[in-house]
Amino acid sequence: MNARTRAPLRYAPWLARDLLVWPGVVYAAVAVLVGFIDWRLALRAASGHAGRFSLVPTAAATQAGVWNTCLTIAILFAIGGVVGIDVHRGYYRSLFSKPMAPWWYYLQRYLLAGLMVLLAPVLLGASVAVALHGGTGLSGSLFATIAMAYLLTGSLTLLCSIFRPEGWLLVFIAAFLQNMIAGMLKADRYMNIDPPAIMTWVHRVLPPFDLLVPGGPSLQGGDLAHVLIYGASLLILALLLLRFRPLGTGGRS
Amino acid sequence: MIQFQSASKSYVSLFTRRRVDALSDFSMEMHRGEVVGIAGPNGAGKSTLISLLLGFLDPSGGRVLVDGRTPRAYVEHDGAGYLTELIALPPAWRVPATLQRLAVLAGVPATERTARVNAQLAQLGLEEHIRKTNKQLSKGNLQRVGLGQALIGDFDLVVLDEPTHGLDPLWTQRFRDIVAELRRPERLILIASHNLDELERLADRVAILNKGRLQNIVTRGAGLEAATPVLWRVVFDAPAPDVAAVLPGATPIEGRAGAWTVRATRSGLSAALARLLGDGAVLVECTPQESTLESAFRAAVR
Repeated sequence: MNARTRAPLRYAPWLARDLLVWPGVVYAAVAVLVGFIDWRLALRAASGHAGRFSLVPTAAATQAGVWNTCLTIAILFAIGGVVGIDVHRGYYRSLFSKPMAPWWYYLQRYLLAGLMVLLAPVLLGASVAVALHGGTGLSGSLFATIAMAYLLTGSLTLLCSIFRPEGWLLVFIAAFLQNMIAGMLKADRYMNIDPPAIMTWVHRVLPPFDLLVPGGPSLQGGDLAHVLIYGASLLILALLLLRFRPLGTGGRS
Repeated sequence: MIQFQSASKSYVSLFTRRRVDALSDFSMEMHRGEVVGIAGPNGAGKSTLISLLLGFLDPSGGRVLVDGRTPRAYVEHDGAGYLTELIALPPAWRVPATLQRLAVLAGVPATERTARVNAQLAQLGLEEHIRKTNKQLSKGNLQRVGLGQALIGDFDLVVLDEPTHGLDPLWTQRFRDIVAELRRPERLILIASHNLDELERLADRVAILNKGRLQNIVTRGAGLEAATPVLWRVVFDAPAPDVAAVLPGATPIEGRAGAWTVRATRSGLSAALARLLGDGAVLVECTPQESTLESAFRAAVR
């Protein structure tokens, strides 16, 4: 046997390169588009053509608005189907006949995708700063919220992708459902109505997507612990499955 | 190097609970320095056996050891050169990048990587395709890229599942030369194939599987050729002798005077022919109609 390098991060540059192409190019395109829209809105406001209700954009409001709407989708773009596609299309046979453990390969992929998601607000901030000749709207709490959202949503997506390439769809539905239930529970509390027990129970079981509001107040105490423990548990479960569950499901799968 | 100890693999349907035994009670040892063939009809369990060997599946019963370790532990540490039957590689990757990436995963040192990739491209006749992506390659060319990625790591364990699938005759022959060059005392090469002629030429031993069970292990050069009855065609000049009288079961070939098909061992046929020739018959042709392996295969899967 010839000399062999076992450097654990040897394939990371290729993974990073793949992520720069997808979803990196999409993130950059969205950042440029949002910057363009901000620039047009700012021009309208400055020229006095703006109506009573027209927006005068700010970088912080743009960041908050974009990430409140697009964060889950941005995360799904970065990590959706990551294991399932390799297994379903049979790429895993070439990849993991080499001396590389699947759990380690996908952990690297997960972490790099997380960095890519954290790079997205920087791209958006740069675009908005150019468009508005002002700040980037970036803040420590925005990064912290996005990082925690990635821990929660990204880990669940990784876990679901082990079973099906379309596992991301389940994550999307769960996030939608949780945010909807959280909104209903909030309304019930406001109106002093006791919510149905099943609704409270589902809210408790589903991942706490609703606690993560980019541009909102920073999470603290029990809510922070809830998000971190839930997200870390999902990640650990995914890695354990990748470590101990064989990737193949049949002779030629 | 490899020990299959009563290895079994069953699949159970989640809903109907129907159980399919893909591999049953398979026991065999394979050693470094050998080329071992796995033959069997479709659904015989060849691909399941390979998946167990590489740790892509866990056995339902028995165990599989590679160098005393579980297959997954072996592969994750030492790696294996593996070509799948229907090679699947990401379609957007360019050919050299595919080999580069998989060389990185294989642990080929950075200083050797480019030279190794270029050597594979040259050896497999892929130099003219270096600007193409995997998606743009024909089936045969993609199979060659697959072979390249399997060989680039220079592993001690090489597993080739239907390696000549999609290759033209020229590259089928070239593949045989490449496998012959791969032989080394420390390396075990496993080839699963439908192509008995290919296995006959390349393998030292061939395990014949049918319906998930090991039927026979045919060893090349162990006197088996002489001991196994195979089908022959013998043709005599007129006046044709009565071949059936000396070789029971011989049948005349319709429409060709003096031509017979017979099933016999080499020694049995030699003795019968000697007797006929001694009686004045003139032999025009004597050709084997199937190989020893084919004969054993037919007997095993009947």
